Amino acid sequence: MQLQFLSDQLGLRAEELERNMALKKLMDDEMWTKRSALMMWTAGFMRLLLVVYAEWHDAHLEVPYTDIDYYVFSDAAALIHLGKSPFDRATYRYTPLLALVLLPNSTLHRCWGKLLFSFADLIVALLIRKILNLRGVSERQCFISAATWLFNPFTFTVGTRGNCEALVCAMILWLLLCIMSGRVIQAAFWFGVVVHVRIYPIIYVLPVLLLLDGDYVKMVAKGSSNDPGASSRLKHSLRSFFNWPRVVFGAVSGSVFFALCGLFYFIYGTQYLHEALFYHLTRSDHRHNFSIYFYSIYLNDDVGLTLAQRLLAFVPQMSVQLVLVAFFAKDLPFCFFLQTVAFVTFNKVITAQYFVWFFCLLPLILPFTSLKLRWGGAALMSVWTGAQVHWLGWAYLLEFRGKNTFLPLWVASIVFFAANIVVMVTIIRHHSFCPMFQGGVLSYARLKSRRIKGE
Amino acid sequence: MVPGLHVPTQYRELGLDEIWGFTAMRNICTVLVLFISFATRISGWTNDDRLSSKLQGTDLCRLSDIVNDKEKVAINEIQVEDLLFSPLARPAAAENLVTIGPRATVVSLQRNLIGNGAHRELHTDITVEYDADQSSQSAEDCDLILIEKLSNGVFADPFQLQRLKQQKSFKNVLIFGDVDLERPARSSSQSIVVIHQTFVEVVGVERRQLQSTVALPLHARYPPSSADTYFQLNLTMPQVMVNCRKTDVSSTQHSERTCIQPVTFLPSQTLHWFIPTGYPLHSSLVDVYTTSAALAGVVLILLFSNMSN
Repeated sequence: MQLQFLSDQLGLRAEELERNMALKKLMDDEMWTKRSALMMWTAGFMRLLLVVYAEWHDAHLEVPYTDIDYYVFSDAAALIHLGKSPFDRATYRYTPLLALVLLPNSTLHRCWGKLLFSFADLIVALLIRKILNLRGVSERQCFISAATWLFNPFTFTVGTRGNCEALVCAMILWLLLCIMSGRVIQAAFWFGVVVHVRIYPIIYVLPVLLLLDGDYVKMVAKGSSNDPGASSRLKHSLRSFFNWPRVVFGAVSGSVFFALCGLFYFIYGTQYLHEALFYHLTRSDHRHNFSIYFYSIYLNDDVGLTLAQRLLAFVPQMSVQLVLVAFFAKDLPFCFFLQTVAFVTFNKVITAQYFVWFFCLLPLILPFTSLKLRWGGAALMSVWTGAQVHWLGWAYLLEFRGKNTFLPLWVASIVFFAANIVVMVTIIRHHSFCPMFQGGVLSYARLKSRRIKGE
Repeated sequence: MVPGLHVPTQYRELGLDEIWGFTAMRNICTVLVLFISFATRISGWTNDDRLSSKLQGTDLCRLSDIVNDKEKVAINEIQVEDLLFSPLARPAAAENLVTIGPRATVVSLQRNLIGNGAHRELHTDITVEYDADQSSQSAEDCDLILIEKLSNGVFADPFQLQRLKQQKSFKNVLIFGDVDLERPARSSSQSIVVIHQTFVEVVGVERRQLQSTVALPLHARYPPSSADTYFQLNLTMPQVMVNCRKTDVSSTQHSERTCIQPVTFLPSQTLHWFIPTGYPLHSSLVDVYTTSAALAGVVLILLFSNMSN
């Protein structure tokens, strides 16, 4: 209808007009692609500058820029270099794979790790672009989404301070890409690795398994047919649940995970199991952090938490994960994002570096939300940041001024929790639910046509 | 190493350095390490005062002779304990000046806890009067050794101290005991920090005076919850020693002799550090509302997810 109107006005033939518009779109895309490349180079250069600055800062100022965790990784890598166990280093509670990857810290230069993590940041941005391209998002939207990751203050400080979260994010996005392209075995391999490195991605196993349904099988088999009803319902008979992608995914990821854990158990013994696995599963920190549970844990520290109390902390987390998976599993990036935010929000310990886990998934859902930066998005950002700043104020009084602000600090944790719930709920309301696969194809075509028609 | 002495390996890694190759100095440190490990095994850290009373009144100069003289005595753990614990009479104090050993006298000692909150600095400012040994033609170079005893409610960060040592804030620093920064005070143990610091000669005084300042950063652990809402942490006086090296410049061969002398002082200045604690009566309130908030969150998400679908 639009085309008809325009061609009447301009006296052009409809086909010519359509061709001109397509050409214009191509040129637009090229311009945004060039800008994206420039942005990547800028982001990389900025991170390099920060790594250099970090060296100067650590040498001259009292409060170090580099995170204590980075020194822990480097020391563990040095221990491996000497042929010893990385767990001899106190507070090293990660997989030995990480220390192996950081071996050049002791052989080449101590900044190797930071440069690697900054490079992983750039890889994440590339993967974001690839995923959004596959979903048919315009180049301009891809540019904006990648910018949300590359220039987010949390992400570039976390990477240049020496935290390894960027590696985990890169692996998660890569496995998402593999699922979208039908490479089940590769996705399963990386899933096993990423759960070995950090335990939390295990929450993604449910939506992935739900997604690998009949629709997916058709897409992988490259035979497409319009079969809308049979594959989009949640209730399946038990036999049809165990189709070959699910079985393969479960088997491969399970074997990779157990193989890696078994290998390191064989090399380092029970120390590996206690430090790298059990510690994270049973961790409860009494020291003040963003979590709503910290004060409870501290007050009950002398008697310890009863079984009922532990369950009460676990049940909301499990329930919210199940609810989100039940409703949103088909739109996998959106489900991942919500699940990660929920996991962090309901967790017994929350530190700022956990936020990177969902900041890498946020760019994937931005093109599908009807929230505009002005003023819905800005309001949401202020609510979330404001709640954090409020908490940090009370925490500062407690830790650096010695005032007893435990009760207000706990209330501030509840306020931050509420802010997180508000953010989740608002994003859910404004999201255009777009299942990844429908009728055997990646369902971007529908979204595209919706965009052209009405808006 | 002295035969028969066993140095636990974890203490080696905490910074047991050799200061300019003085083997006797190393042996003294080894003996200190041994003493502390021995004391922990025997006493189980039941009494803070026991440590200070044992270090007081000990003539470690005599010990250094024995430790150096490997041929004469085979040192084993029991003999070391005897040597360290043997009391020696000390002359009474007079007014401001306290005579401690044959050579060093404390002129002034200032203790301060700088800062607010959970991370503070313990400042010790000490001036001693030291008689140069007139008998032999020798030059003396003196260091201050400070032994701080920390209760389970406070700890020193070994990495921070190593960084400070690299920045030349201390000559050397050793930590023994519990340096865990994650556990609360209730599940932690005591620790000892031994700091070596250089003396600076004070100009413009008749007798030779040496001055030194030590700033030790400390961090508080989470104390047990109490109805008082603040926990009082006491920092007691340190054990102070003066370590002098004599170089005999008269002879062609440079013979070295070290001598550690303990310093006693009156009155004691115990510093008080107030650390906020949880309030136990909040417990039920906090538990109820935390769980309610979590469940409310789940319900809200369920409602909105349902609405959007």
